[in-house]
Amino acid sequence: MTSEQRLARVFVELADTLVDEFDALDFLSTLTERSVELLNADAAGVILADARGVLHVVASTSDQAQLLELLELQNDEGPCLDCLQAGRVVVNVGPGDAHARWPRFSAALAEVGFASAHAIPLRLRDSVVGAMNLFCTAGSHLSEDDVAMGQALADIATIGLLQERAVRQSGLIAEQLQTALDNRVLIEQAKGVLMASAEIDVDQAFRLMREYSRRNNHAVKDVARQVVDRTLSVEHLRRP
Amino acid sequence: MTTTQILATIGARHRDGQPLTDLLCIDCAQSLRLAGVGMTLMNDAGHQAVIGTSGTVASRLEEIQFDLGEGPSLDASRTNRTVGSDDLGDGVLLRWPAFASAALVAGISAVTAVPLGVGGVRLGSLSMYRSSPGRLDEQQRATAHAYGGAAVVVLLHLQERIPSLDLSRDGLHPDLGAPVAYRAEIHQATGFLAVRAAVGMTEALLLLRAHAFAADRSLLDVARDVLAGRLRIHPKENEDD
Repeated sequence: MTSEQRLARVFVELADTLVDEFDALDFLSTLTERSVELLNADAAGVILADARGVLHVVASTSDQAQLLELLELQNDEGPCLDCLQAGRVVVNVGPGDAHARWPRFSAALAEVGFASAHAIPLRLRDSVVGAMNLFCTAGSHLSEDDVAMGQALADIATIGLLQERAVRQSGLIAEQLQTALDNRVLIEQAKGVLMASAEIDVDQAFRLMREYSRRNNHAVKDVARQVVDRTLSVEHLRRP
Repeated sequence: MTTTQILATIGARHRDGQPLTDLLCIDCAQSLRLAGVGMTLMNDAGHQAVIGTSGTVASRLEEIQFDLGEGPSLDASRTNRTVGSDDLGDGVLLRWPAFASAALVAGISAVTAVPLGVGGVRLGSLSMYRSSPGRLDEQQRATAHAYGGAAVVVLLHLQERIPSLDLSRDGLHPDLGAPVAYRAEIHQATGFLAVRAAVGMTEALLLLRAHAFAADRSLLDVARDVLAGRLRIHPKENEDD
């Protein structure tokens, strides 16, 4: 796997885990707001594709149900889906153009009162991991310059998400490392406690904890902690 | 020298069989012209495993800090600050009397220990040993910190690439897990002694250390004797010292 592909994969994973990541959502919300201001649009939303290709709305300028539906709908049809599949911008889609290709999307668009829809890809090298959707009420048109600006904003979103992910990941791995070390020490100490309490050897001590943990569906490290705290005695461990 | 350059250098030299952690220590010793560099993994309780060294001197000085329960590597990780001594022979400033004498015997006169951590998570330290007294200049200090940054990246890199067979949640990469396992008997003896002497884990470890120090033996040897029933240590023994 090349480093580009790795980056792409990292990002697809991000799409999968983003839902419960508050900071990233904040970041994207801000981005949608700025995009609406800069491009004279009336609403915007960011959609990311997860590892299975399912689209998730991760940020939007309003929580208006109809807007969210319009975004969600594109799991089935719409400019956003086309943008993701083709990897290029799909802009200035009016109700008329949309009608033949995406009847449901077109109807939903008119119902919310939007005159046009636009989708700009979130690109990572040669893969597309999501899209920014923009909607305009008046018959406004995105010029070439607007599209370039929109793409720049989408690129910022991509970079921002990657950085956010990198920082979060390293903190998480560091914690795992620290926990792994804690647990190793705890398990060894617990073995010693059992060896001294029951006159057994080190392998028997570990087996005792492992079998107890399996019978009771506890992690070995939790059993070890109780042994070290002396809240779990050898007699308890031996009880079938 | 930046962290990226360091990583590029050790990455290019990496061959299967030689841990990246050792390569980093060797490269650091070469570029700063040090007598030795050691990298240790530590948790909040101070338990450490020596996960990389440039050679025997660093290895010995890292090990002995665990046996003694004192030294710059421990303090750097504990306080999350760079600590050290520009002259370990200067009796006035002895922060680590037992460590300092061991270091001088090993031919080390100055040491700088850089903490390794991510955000609030402390992971250990990278210690740089010098054979003659003296300060690191500003540029050398910057390089020392760049190596610290590279060491963190190496640690996270290893931890992120645990072989799939070993993917239990408590997993450690083999390059990190093996040095931890090396100390297993010390932790077992701690638990063992805690029961026999009716004390807590922290006190039990202190008892083991005190005995090892008084008997001029390694902590691991003392631990093995305790586990085998060849050696009984009582809390009173400590008080009598």
